[in-house]
Amino acid sequence: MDVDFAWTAVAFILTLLTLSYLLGDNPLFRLAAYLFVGVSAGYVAVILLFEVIFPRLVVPLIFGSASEKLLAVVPAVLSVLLLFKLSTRLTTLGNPSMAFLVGSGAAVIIGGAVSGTLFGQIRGAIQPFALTQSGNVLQAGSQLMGGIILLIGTVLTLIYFQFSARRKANQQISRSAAVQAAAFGGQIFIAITLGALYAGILAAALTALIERFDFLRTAIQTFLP
Amino acid sequence: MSEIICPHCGASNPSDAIECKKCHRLFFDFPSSNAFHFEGEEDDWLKSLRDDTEPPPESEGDEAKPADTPPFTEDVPDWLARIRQRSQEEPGSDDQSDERAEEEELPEWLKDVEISSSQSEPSISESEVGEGLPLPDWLSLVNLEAQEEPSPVRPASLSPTEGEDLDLSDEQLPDWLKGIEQSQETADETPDETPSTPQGEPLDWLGGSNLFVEEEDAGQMPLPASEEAEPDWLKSFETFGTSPSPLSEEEQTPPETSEDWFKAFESFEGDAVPSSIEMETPFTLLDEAWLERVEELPTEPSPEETGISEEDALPEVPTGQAPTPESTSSESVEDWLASFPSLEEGIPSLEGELPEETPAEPLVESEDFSSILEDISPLAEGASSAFIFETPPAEPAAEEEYEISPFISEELPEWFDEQVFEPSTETAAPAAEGEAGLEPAELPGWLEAMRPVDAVAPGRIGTDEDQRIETSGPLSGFQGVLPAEALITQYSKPAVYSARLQVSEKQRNYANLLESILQEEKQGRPSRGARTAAPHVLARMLIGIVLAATVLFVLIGGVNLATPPALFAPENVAFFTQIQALTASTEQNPPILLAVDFEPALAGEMTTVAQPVMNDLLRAGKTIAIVSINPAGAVLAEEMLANSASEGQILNLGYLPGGVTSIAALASQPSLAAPRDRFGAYAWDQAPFQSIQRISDFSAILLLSDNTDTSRLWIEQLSPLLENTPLLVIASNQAAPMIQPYVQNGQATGMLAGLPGLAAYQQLSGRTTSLTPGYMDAYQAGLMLIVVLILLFSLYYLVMHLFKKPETKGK
Amino acid sequence: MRAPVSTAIAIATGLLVLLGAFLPVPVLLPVRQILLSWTIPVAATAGLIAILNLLSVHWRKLNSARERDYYSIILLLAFAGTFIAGLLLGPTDPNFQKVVTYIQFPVEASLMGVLTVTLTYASIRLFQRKRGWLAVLFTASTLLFLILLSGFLNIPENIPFVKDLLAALNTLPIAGARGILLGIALGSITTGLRILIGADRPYSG
Repeated sequence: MDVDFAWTAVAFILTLLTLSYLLGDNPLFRLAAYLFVGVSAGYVAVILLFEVIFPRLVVPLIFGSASEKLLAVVPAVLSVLLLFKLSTRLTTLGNPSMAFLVGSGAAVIIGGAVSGTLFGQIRGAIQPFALTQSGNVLQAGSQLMGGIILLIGTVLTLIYFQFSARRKANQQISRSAAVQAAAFGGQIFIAITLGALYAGILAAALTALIERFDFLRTAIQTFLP
Repeated sequence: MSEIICPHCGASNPSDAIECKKCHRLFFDFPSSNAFHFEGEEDDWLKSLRDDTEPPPESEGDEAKPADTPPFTEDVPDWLARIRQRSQEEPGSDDQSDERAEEEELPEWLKDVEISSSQSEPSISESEVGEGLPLPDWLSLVNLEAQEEPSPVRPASLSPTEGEDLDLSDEQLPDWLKGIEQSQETADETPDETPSTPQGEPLDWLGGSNLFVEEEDAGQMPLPASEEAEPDWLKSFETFGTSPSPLSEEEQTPPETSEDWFKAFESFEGDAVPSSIEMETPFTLLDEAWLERVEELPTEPSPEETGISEEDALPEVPTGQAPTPESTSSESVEDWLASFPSLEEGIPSLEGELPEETPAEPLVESEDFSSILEDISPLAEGASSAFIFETPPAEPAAEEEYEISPFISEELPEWFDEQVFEPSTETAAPAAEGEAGLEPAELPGWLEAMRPVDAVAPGRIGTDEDQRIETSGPLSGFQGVLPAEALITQYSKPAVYSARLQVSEKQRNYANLLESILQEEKQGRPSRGARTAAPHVLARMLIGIVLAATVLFVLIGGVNLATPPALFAPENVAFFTQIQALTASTEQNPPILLAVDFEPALAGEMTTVAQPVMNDLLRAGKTIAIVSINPAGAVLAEEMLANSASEGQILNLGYLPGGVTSIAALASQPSLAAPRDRFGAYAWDQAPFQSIQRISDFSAILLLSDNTDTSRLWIEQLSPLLENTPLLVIASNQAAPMIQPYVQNGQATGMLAGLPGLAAYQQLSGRTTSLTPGYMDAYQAGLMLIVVLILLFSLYYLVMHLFKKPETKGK
Repeated sequence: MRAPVSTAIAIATGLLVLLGAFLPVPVLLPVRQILLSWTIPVAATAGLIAILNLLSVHWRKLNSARERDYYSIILLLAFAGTFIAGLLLGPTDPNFQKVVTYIQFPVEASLMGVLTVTLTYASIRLFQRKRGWLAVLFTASTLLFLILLSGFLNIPENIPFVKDLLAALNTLPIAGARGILLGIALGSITTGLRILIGADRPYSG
């Protein structure tokens, strides 16, 4: 029996078991789901051991040079300390490792947000106003108009997420009228964006469904003599 | 017909009434209860008592009889009959025997006494035999004492003027003696009556009662050894039983009125104590030891010592001391009986029926009885006057000392309670004289403690409720017991209490506020009944079936729906341009970094879109380094490129855990971040990877991402460091909207998004055939079907809401 | 202060990484690179701990008398089989890689396909639940972009008005997306700074 044929059959059965969720939660679907989780966990464990831990920690410490060993000691110690997180009594010993990860991650995120998004998006927001790149007036006009809309939309969206408010004379807590009006405009742009995102998700899911139905069709053609 | 004044509430009632209309208490239930239901003409004697003017015929007949004849022979209890019998045996005692012969319905306790007496004493009269009265405890004690030590038993003095204290409370007095009180009250209202008249009747029934009957043979009552230890009230019973004439000569009552019932007491005294009084069941004493202790009791202190007035002193309980012949003298009987308050409503039947006074014994007890009888105020008021006794003249108290009854006050008959009896003025003097001659008994300490407060405390003991005499059950005749039938029959409608809650204005406002809040909650979330999952499952199933049918139809049927795009998005164009630039270069370009960041879920879409691009790059001889922050990404990418790549073109750096930190590490120094490939070999020594020192050294970065967050991270970390290296993105449709700003501002050079991007790339690259035929058609058909479904149902629900009734809209 | 050592490590690491990214100090860049390289094996260990925790949870569920889940045995057996196969074959073995190709991929792709039906049903019932103007705008945007994505409006001819209109429609989401991205960036900066100054300590627990 061809191994590929067996694997195809396995994939075929698992596809059908998973698509049975259309009929509601049933034991067949749960069987496929639990099997999937177990296999995924096993695969990831193997990948981590063979592709990361073993080559980056074990091999340098055992077979590496002095510099490699020196470089491998700290992550090794941090990794060992992190293992204590499995113990409820000794879980505090893993805090330094977690602190190392959190600290480095926070710094990376700050750097990326500042240089990658903040500066980049601001530059992108004002870039349409660089009319020197446009060819003719019409294009410049459309570019300008687009830039203005984009800028206004961006600003209104940012204002919508500002929830600071003050207590007024009548003891009501609310934002100012200008902020509320701007937030209303921001809601419009956010609704449009979320609609586009929702449409994209639908499209992507439909693509996956089409691919699965195509697989089923192909598999049936394979199984059939 | 005269009225009966209720001794409790003072309401006037008809003469034939048994209980008060107002307070529903029995005046004297002697005729109506089993306790004192005399045989034969039960109510005649009672009626005669109530009749102020004319005594009943029977009573008249009885009155015609000599004094020794009991006034109501038919209604007289056996024990009273025996008393009379004794008196008849002595002068004037024949009538008592006749009385005894008459059937009498007695209270149960009296019946028991009779039964026990009949069992052991065949000489007891038939009337006594037929009625087996259970002996009350106190009477059984009397029997015991008589057995233990024969001693003269003197009748209990009813007159407090005799100086004897009958240590009994109202509760211990039988009903018939309570009736004495009541009759005393009636007697007080009618002072015209001779005092002898009311006295006759009580004597009769007292004489007929088996209670006071003693067997001559036994001749003993359960009295303590010493006279000093005998309670007075008990001695008085002994006097009834043994002494034919408890009254002393001094207390000799008028012949016509008092002699008969006195004689009854005499006969009572002369008769032997029935065996029922003896220690037999059911009134067998559980502990006879106390009787012995009672015998040892010191003599009762004198009233002067104790400070107890003659009026307050209870009649002494007759002890077990056997009555002496002297004590059975008619004079002694008359004496103590003379202490009974005079009956206002004359008991004609009792007239002349009083036992003859026998001078045998000083009637100490009679004094007490008289005092007791005087306290029977209801009788004095003209109530059931059957037992309104006229207090005989006070006689000097006998020298015998009577002890306080060892029984608890509740067990003693009511008439022993000195407060029940209101001594008349006539008996005041004789009582005083009697007190002077008595030696008060000395009580031991423990008995003193047991003495009811009422025995020493002045004042009326108990409340009006306690004066109620039980008329049924084993406790019939007792006073102050828990009601049995009476309460049930006297049940009244319970009071109706208002169920309205008192609510203040403030509370009402709070309640209204809470109610309004709850109403708002209801309005905010209208319930539309129970929801079941079946419609949802069915709807999902139908949509799935329709979608599946549409896609399969297009795939299998080969329907061509999709048209190639004529208009392309700028990002698509830019992407294509960059790919073209890369593939067009013939130089040994640096490798291209392929960052794989998609899950197996969208691997179909990603591989479908990326396959043509990768094929173009691989065909152009480009070296591609694959790196992934997803465990399965590297494998999927490798699978994708396995068919197109030649050997040595692909360097799989494997999986980089850590997310953004691994991206930053890769962006900072790729060789340090991923030094080895998946197979463990050092990757950066091989050509063309030897020239790669920084991320910007790659010829291009191709990002395959289906996630908005990770794609953002990739762009954020890489774009600042990519100087001129293009960052090309192949994204899924779900990530494209969020990547577009980066593309729009140039951080990402180009982007292909989903199948439309593939279509655009294919169109731009001039491919007429697709690697995945039918996908675009099915994709378009499916999307349009979804559009139609959403549009139709949305319009339907909108229209339904517009045309819905306003009331239901608000729900 | 709670967990002072961990806080010091977090702050020190963060400052070194951040300063190495922005300051052109020669010594900071290698330090940053080394620190970032150390995060990879430590993160791998964290991944292993997460898997062990998953297994322990399911083992407990299997042995629990009250909340026994018999499906957990399937998970444990699948993990054991895959792990043993991986240990024996190695992750690079093509047969072992079929675990991804023929098990993970089909199941996840099928789940994504089921999501199509679920999302369609949810969008159909949207107006049954909410009927505000935002719901109308959202639905309209969804329908518009579904139509655009489907290619239904792919006209073969290049009509300028249609082209500009389509271009304008395609750029509409950019404004909102940009605003959202900026908001996320600002939030990330705030959160990161709070961690770097020691105000937030998610690691002390």
